[in-house]
Amino acid sequence: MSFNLLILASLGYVVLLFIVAFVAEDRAARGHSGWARSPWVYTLSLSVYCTAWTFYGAVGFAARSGLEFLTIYLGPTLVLVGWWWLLRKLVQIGKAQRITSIADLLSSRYGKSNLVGAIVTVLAVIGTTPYIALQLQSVSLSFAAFASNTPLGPLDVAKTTGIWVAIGLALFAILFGTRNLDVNERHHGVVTAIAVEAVVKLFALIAVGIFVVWGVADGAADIKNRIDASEIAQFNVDNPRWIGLTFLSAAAFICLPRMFQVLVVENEDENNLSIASWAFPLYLAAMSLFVVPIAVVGLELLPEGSNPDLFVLTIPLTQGADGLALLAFLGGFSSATSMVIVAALALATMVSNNMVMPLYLRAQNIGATVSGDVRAVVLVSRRLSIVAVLLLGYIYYAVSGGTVALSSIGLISFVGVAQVLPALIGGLFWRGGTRTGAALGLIVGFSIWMYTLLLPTLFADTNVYSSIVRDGLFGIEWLRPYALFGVTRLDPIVHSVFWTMLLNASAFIIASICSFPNPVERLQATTFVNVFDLAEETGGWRGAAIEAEDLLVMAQRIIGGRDAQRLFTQVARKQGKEGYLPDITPDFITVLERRLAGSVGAATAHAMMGQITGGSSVSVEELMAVADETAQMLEYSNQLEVKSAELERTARQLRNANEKLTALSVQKDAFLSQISHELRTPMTSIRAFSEILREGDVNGAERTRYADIIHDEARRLTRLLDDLLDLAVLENGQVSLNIENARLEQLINRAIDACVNSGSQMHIKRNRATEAIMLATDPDRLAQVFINLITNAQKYCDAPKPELRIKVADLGPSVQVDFIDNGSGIGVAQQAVIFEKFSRLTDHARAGGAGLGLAICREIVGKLGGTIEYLPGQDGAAFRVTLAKSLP
Amino acid sequence: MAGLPKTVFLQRDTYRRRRIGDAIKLLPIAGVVLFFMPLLLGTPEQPAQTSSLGLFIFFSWFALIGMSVLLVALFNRTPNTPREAEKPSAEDPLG
Repeated sequence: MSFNLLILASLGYVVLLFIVAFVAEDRAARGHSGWARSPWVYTLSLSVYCTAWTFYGAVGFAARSGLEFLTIYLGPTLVLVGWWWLLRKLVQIGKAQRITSIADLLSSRYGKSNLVGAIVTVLAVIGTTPYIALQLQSVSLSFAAFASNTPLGPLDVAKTTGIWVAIGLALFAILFGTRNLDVNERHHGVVTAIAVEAVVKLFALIAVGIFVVWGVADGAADIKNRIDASEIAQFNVDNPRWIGLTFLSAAAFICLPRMFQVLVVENEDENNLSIASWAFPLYLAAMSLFVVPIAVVGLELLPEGSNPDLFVLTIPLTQGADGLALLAFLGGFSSATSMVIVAALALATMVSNNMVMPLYLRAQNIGATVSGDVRAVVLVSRRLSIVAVLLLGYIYYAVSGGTVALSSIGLISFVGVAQVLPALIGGLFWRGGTRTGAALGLIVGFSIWMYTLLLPTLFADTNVYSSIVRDGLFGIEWLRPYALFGVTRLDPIVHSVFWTMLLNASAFIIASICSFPNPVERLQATTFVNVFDLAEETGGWRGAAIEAEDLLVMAQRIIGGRDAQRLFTQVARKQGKEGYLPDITPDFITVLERRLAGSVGAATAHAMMGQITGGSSVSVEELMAVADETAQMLEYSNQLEVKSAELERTARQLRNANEKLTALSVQKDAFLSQISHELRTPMTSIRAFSEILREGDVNGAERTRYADIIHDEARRLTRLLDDLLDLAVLENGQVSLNIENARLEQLINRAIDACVNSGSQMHIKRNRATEAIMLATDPDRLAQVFINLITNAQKYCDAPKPELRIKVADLGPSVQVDFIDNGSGIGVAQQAVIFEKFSRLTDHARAGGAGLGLAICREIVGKLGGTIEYLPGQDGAAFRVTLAKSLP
Repeated sequence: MAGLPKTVFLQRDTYRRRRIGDAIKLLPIAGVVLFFMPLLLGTPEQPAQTSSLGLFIFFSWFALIGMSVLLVALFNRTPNTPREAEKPSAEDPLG
């Protein structure tokens, strides 16, 4: 096959890619980005994971160690199938915060910190540069494989190819990656071109696979026999290596800058992710289906010592299938170019947003409001970054000159970028992760990776480092790079994964726990961790006295005049205003900052906004003030609550009092009519009989009888008036008490004696032993209370065999005396009012009093420092008198 | 959840949707079990065969993909309740 044809084909392919990218970009610009946004293009774009290293290298990997190469695909499969855990959140955050790169993500999460962003950027550049070199090398090698019959030697071909490929890729990346400063940082042209490349490489690998299985071998059964007969027939996999590599590839799938670019930044729709969750594993499975057959056939067919990494290419070549070889070449070429383009783009974004722009802004200390288009600066810095990244990759390739070390660089690079994992996972799921923790974890992991993996590989041949590898740093044995702390059972890659992840995560966690985040960090932590819960971000900016015009000027410089004006008009219209200048609300500032972040990264956008708003982003003091306000409002509302409860209580009491008063008023009315009747009855008979006596014609016996009647009635009147007077005196507090020491037993005796003469049939039960208690009290008054209670019982107890129990209980400082009869008791409605004046139970005839007895009792007991109350639930009327043994 | 109180009883569809989400969450765990299974097979004297283990892994792989297809389709087909749908996107309010 002619070498010129090969060059022609690859040039034609490149032109095709340029056209595809151009058309896609053009359609997107005109708003027809329909199929570029489809889940299938998204899924295919994820195939930048499969680089030339996997396209060619997987076969080499399989030829060396059998099925182990699968781990590189199984890890990403697990991550994607488990999209619900991590990727879903990542994509959501990416959209909400307009994340532009993985460095931007971490910088934004950890308080829009430039430091964290810069560390991740450096890490990514160091981790990716060798990888880019690897791609250049693989393209050069594949060229060289065809070039055996050209006048130039293969090595010269390789060298010249390398530089031309690098230039071509830089051109492509600049043309379609930095054409404009997109607010969403999405590149439809690049993504579409990559999707095409994905199809080409899958098609190429499957074509070679089919050729090998059904062209060279005799179908599946034959291939199985050949596998069983080959040197990789047995599954000799080291357990830690299998687990470690699966973990590593999963981690790298999330953390690789280029993967983050296509997975998160270029994602248009969350639903695309759900489709990709099975479609991309399917792609990976298809990519790896024929790897082992190709490896086995290659081992059989090709002479000993041929490079297994090129089997995909050399098998068709030796079998004379030139067309297929060309296809395979294009597949490898696709893998290499797509990886390099996306990686360069992602790195350039990171370098320009996290390193160049902050430095530029600092150098331009005059402020962001001065005229001049920052967009130009950003674009130039991106383009220069792309060139620099590719140049770095080429230099690395040229210097290392395709040494063996290069082939192992894939996994080494994976370990490097995986250092981002603890800070990333911690940042997404743990609000406690801080900037200090993230920076420390990254630095620790990065240093250990350099020490245990990168440097030993790069400088294995130098005397200095080989002695370190053998004897450890400074001759300390447990510092040997491949056997840190004496761990010798792990192979170098897994050993490094183990130690870097362990120490990185530990440093991150411990430093996070020990440090204290600043307010912006805490705000961002909450926004990230609760991205599904928080409908809207709590404002990070306080609307200080900023002019909307200043903001417009700045926004125009970053996202372009038209976009900025549209944004401002939209906001203004939402606020109900005409024109271009909306009110500066914290919401608006947050939105604007996000838009800017989409172009220049979170930290830079924050810094620029900071300059305009006069650094009036949330300061600790402001946050504290807000917190204080909140606390005060909380307290105030608590007080209100207490007050309202109090009011409610008072209202309830008032209502009760009112009910009672109404009942009393009714009673009083009833009583007034009653008392007038009571007063009138004796008065009537007194007047009648005294008139008879005045007439004079009565005999002696009759006169005596009439005089007795008049006397009795007069006494009844006097008693009534006495009671009323007594009560009035008691109530007015004019009563004087004669306090003496008295035995309770004697008082009760006295009361009973005073009552028995009334001829009642009531049987009184008492326990004298309990009554031997001395009281300091007014004996006459207390006896009066007892008499009243006993006579009440005599009057009202309606049992056939009336009975009164007097129970005394000694409670230490006080005494309880219960009077319990066996009658029908007092109804609940009346219990509430029996102690009120003029209250009397229904049967007036039997009462014989004016209903003042219990009222008087209550007053007396109150004066004696005790209480009297009705005791419900005693099978009869029951009163309890509680008295202090000595007066206060 | 910041502002919205969590409800105890969900609409039937929402409930179903969440349980499908649970099933999707379990997939990677099933994947880990399946993919690490080869490590448990074979003896030092007689290691497992590459060909049969390869078939096993690819079989597991496709089974996992199949389950994922099924669950994602079910998930996307189950209607979302108004409440979850109403949730404003966290993106900018102009969207």
